[in-house]
Amino acid sequence: MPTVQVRDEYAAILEPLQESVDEALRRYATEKVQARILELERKVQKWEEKYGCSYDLFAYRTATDEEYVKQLDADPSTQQWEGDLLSWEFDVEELREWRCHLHRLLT
Amino acid sequence: MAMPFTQALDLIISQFQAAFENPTLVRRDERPNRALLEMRDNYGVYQVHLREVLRVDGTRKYAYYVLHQSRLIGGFDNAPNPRALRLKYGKNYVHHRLELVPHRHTQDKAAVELTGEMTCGLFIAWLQANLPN
Repeated sequence: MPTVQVRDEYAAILEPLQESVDEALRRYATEKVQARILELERKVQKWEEKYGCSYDLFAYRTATDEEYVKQLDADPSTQQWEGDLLSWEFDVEELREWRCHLHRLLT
Repeated sequence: MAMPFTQALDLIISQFQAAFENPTLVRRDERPNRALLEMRDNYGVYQVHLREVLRVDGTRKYAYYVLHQSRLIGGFDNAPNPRALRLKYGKNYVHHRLELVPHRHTQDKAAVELTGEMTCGLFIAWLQANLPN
């Protein structure tokens, strides 16, 4: 477990110190995680709006539906769909992980 | 053993910076299990767009594209593209649907060709050999 130093002026008003530090860290970590989740949700939403579906459906269709792939390839705005697929997958996996972090912090 | 993410991304960035005049680092995101890099620049009249995801298990996904006025001129990626999988496996491609398959796209994605695994360095070499700056 990492050790941190607490300034005397904080320590004096935060008794019992360990409980206060735990609570402060929990709140700060929750705030950071929520901000990261919001940022990732925005990114995922942009992908969903661009392709009109969820990541799971997009990954399924691009792997199975050649007609759909032809449509994507024919449209300059979606010709980079393979690159988008890897960025989108990254964002979705990150979002799932950060939601797990939040769940752990709140339970 | 795979190179640590930081070192691997630094190498790609340095290769990209050496090849282009005003590269933009669009996104660099490193996590314990995965890392993502996205870079862009102009190359003569073309736009170059690089994306790469590295994973802790050693797998990597990439997309290196060259565009002209928003249309794809050419590019390489290893997504499980059904056209590329059909080329590789024929009728049995459906049994390999999620498999990464390195391939090249020709202008406007008119055709797909199978390739070996590409890297940023190989892509830059291809670009310099095939498109005037």
